[in-house]
Amino acid sequence: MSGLSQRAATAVTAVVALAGTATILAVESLVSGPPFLAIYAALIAVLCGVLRVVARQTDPAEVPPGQWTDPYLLAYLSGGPDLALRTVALSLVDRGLLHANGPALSVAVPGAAALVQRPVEQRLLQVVGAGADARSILQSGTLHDGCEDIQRQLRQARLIEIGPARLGSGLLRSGIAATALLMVAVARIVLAASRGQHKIGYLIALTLLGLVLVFSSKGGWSSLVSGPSRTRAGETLLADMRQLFGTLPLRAGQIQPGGGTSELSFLVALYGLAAAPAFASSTLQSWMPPAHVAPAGMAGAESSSSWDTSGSSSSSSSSCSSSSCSSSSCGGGGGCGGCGS
Amino acid sequence: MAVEADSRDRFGIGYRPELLAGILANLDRLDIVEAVADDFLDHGMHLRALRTLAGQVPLTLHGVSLGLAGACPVEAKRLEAFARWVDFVRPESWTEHLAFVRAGGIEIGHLAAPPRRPATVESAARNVARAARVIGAMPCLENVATLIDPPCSTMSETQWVGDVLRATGAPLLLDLHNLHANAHNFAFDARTYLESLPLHTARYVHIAGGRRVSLGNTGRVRIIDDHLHEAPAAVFELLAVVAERTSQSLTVILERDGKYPDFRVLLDELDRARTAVAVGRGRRVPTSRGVAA
Repeated sequence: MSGLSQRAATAVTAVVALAGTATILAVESLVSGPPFLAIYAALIAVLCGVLRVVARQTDPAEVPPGQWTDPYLLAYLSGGPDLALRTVALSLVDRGLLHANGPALSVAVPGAAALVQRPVEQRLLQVVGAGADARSILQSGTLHDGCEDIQRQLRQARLIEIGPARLGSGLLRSGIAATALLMVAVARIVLAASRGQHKIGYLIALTLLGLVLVFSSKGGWSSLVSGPSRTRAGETLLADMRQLFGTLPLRAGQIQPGGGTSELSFLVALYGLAAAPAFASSTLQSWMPPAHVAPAGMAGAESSSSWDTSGSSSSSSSSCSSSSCSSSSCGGGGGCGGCGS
Repeated sequence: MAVEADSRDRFGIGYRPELLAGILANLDRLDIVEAVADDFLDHGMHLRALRTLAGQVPLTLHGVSLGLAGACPVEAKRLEAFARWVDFVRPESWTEHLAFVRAGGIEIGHLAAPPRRPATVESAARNVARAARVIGAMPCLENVATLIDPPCSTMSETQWVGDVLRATGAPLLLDLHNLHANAHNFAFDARTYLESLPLHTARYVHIAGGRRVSLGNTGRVRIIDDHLHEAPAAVFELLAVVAERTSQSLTVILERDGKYPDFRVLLDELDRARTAVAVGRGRRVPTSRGVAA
């Protein structure tokens, strides 16, 4: 099953919910007690599974047409605004436009903001001005807002999705599943009452648990409270770019400071801060908020990010298997920009 | 007035992972990227990545293992696999070498020039026609470099290549460094060679560099087409000649397989190619029916 339309996904959910409800209602008078609760729990599990599968199948897997070759865009896709801003800052330092002395940042060239093209670079240079502390400004909402353009591009291409955009059909499907659960529960309670049975506490608890589970599944209410997450197409793009760059993490040591290539930006964007070569990693480390200073050898900027990688597919993990994004190099801090999801 | 390359002429580079950052950062200066098909075929994910690359920049798929110039028919499973790859990646074209790479069930791991005889023209034409049928598009056929004059040959290289192109109707991928190396190694004039080729069929041009090696104590020097060095001036001179003698648009692709320099060096090489094509185009004589060489 692939490329399922929202309507078909809703229909599939409705059919499964109806079939499950009908089955349970048919046997409801024959079973009671723990066997009934077990059947009811199975229905909850099936509905949650269906919701998860159809949500995934309505998620486009194809990378949309267009040029997705901007390292900042890939950094945002990989690790959210935190990683994107650090990639921007590192690129500006590498290009000699920004001066980094530990956590202190300053513009290295007068009028540097006029020399760069991208809005996010201009914004960063303007904010840094005569001097600023990287640890505070890279966390600031002002700069995160500077990434709006990147976020909009990714959202329009459905490479990421943000809370409210995922609602709608997802919520309808969760509603169908919840209705099925409630119908079964109410019918059971009515039947129990008619038989003079009043031990319905477990059923109510199980129903509440089921409602929480169906609404917290992908596409449900949870979409409203979780941060942006990559779609399958976003996962595909990241995995493909990592594939195309091949052994870039292993060649990190060959990247020279100020080398005039964008390899450093792509390296950090695609493989996270932990993959940065030695000359850059100390700078990156000094930009981390004190509470988030990572273990030696990695700088896990994403650890403080609200970036949600719950939508990650297996493609990303497989792409990491041969890269520096192994758990050993990541240090377990999420420094691989989404690889380890 | 400064001469300029025909706006239809295109200039690109061979994809290598080591060059990708430079490629992606300079898409405004690259019209096309060539990917060696066989580098991607061991894993489905590699192929999908190649398709993603084809979505970013026009892509041509370069084959190195079909062995179209072999005496034996190319195995159906190879052609069918290649057809699936082409169908999946959707490149704008595909290319292969006029070489054999296996015989008698033995892979020789090298693009070897076949004996230049009428019989090999026929077998190559059969293979190319079959490949075009299975894959659904005619390949561009590339002349190869060789360090030995193929034994049992009865035809010159230009005669053989020309006959294959005429028999198949396939376009030519003219590798100018292969030509330069062969001309040096076998002491013939590359410009005369170009005069003998059906240049009107040329669609793609490869430029690359190689190295000179001494053959023991013989005092003889051979050029090895290793793609590890800058293209020599002679290659750009030949490119200008090709541009002068052709009226169709050309796609020039720089091949570099190792010892990667700063990407700016490669962009400079492509600029030299642009200049060479512009110079060649500028040499063409205007006629009442257009422009003639």
